[in-house]
Amino acid sequence: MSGRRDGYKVSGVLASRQAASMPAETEFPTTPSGPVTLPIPTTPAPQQASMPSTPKLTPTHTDEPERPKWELVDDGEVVEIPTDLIDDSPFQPEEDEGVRYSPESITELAQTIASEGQHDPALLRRRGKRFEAIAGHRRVRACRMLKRPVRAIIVTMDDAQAERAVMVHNEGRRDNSDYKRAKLYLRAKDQGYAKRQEDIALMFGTKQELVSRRLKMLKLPASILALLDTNPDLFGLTTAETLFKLLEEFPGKEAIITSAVARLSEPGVKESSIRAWVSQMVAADAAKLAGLPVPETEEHDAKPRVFTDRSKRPVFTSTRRGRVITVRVSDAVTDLSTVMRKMSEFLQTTTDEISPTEESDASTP
Amino acid sequence: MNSTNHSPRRAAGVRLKVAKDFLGYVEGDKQFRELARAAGVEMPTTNTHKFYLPSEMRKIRRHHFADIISSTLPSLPPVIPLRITKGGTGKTTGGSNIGVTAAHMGYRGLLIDADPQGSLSEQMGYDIDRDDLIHIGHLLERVRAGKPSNIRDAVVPIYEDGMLDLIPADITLADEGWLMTATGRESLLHRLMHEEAEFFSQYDFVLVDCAPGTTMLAGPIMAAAPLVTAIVTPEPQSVRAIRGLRSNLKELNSSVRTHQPIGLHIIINGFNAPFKPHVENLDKIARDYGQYLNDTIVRSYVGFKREMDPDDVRTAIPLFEREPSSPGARDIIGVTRTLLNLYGVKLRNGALPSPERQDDELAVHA
Repeated sequence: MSGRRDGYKVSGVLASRQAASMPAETEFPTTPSGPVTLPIPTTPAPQQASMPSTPKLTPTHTDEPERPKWELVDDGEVVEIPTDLIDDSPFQPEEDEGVRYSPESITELAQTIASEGQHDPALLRRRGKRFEAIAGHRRVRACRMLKRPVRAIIVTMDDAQAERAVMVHNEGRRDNSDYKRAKLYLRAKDQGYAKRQEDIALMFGTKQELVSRRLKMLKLPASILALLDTNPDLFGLTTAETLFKLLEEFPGKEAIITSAVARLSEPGVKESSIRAWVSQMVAADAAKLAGLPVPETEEHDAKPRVFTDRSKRPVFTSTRRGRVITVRVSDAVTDLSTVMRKMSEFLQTTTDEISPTEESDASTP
Repeated sequence: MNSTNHSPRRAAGVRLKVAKDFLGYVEGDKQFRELARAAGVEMPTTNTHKFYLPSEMRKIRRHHFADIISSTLPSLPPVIPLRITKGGTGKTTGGSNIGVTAAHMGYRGLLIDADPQGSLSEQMGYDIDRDDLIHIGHLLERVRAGKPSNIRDAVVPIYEDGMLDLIPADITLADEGWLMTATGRESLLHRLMHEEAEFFSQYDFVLVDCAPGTTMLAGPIMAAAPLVTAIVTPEPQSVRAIRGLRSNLKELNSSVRTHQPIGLHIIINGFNAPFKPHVENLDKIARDYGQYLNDTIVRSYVGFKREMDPDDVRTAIPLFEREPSSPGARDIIGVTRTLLNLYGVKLRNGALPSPERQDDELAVHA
């Protein structure tokens, strides 16, 4: 195959190869199989065509029954599907109705889709002439709001596959809470898709340890679970474990612990404050029973307090956030050890005043 | 006609030797000149070189083969789609050169640019920067809506003797969202051709330059064709792209073309013998797809890069006309010959089909 002036021929290349290595059969015809014929719909008369368009009730194909438009769509192909052909998945957890499908959140998504387009296609499965959402219930709603078709990948799945797929997709949500995941795991277990925690972990692509910890969440008292049902994002795994410990430490104080959980939905309340709050409430409860004065709980020093010297230079700045008091010492004070000693003395005196008995609680840092 | 600010140009024509070669004429030059004169071709009276124009080649061909030209050809010309998902393999270069070569062989052709980049249109010297451009997407959309396509408004004549026409494209062709919901979209080009049978029957072939990637428009184009022609370079990405095309074809063959599967044809382009990987990949293509290959391998040739001046597309002329005796042109001639044979491109009468016949055609396919 040297540089011939006439150029190169495939026949030459093939001749230089062993005949045995030639493909035995051909996948496609190598020559035309006659003139092309495709089904052609009967042409409407020109007058009809120019008339104001009315929806056609009869199929235009004369030689075959009416078929859904997307029948030819291959699995995995991205197509646009009108939203009125799409149903919700019966396997979608119903608690989504309230939070995830709230008009505000759908409007927000619709606005994004309207301005940026729908980048991420939804996942739909065929159900006869209609489609059922596997993933993308919110996208479908947003597109319905925008009156535009949904970009979607079409797949064929049976019910079990669809349910599994819905579960797996729900699990994978970035904003998914531990509680929702726990419920999903339980459902997967109940439906028999996964028997052991290892199987659940495998199915949802997580660790067995996490499955175990999340499933344990469901053993919280019914009063707390009820709160989680209304707001699954209320708290996560770590807090759930703290709650179990608190329930153990303070038997019979379930009501206080439940109200501590309810308090989490208030703005600015951190999950990590739950233990301190519960201990305080339990102590206050005990004090109340014992007829002692109830310590103030709601004193907010949100603004830092600045202590200045005679020349108005700040020396100390103190802030209180929750149950943490911070004292910032300015550069002007050089003898920090004295300050520290005096503060320690004060704290010790205060501690002695609060608990004159042997019970001591150094809760202030 | 879509001809604002565009005037068709004169084809380059071919010299006597090439003309004889194209017609397979083996007798002497003198006899050939006599044949041409007898066919009604105007011959120079002085001793100058005669360049045979496409329309003249057609006349000679018709005259020479008068007794063997079939009168029972199907009323519609074959569709030759050039398609591969990989870009830059030479679909457009190949398309423009095959088109002009076939025209110079005496066959009347319609080129359809189905690439929103409009590179075939530009390569044919048509400036697509205009508002009145009508592309194949518009025509198919009209067919789908049951409206008259007014296809003649879309056509841009390339040669002044009418032997090569173009349906151009510009970026608006990329807006193919309407196709998404079109019922029976795969049959749209076929329907257009049947609805405009009178128009299409004046051509001997319809060559379509598809866009790279997988576009919605590729479906109807491939479905209307007897074979899909892929142009590949002996390079890894290109070889891989054949697989994509195969899955496209399988899909169509299992849905709209179950009775008459679409065939595959492959042209190897841009072969550079000193490149070892080219030789290896050529070997690989020959091993895997030997039976589909066009016998002529188009070599990498610098002349293909000289076809167009980026500052003035209107001067663009395909290599076959610009450098007719170059190695590149020779390869193109070889490829075109095989292709025309394969698709059964024949000199058609160009006569308008009678109304009865058109009805029959519709009745058969309806």
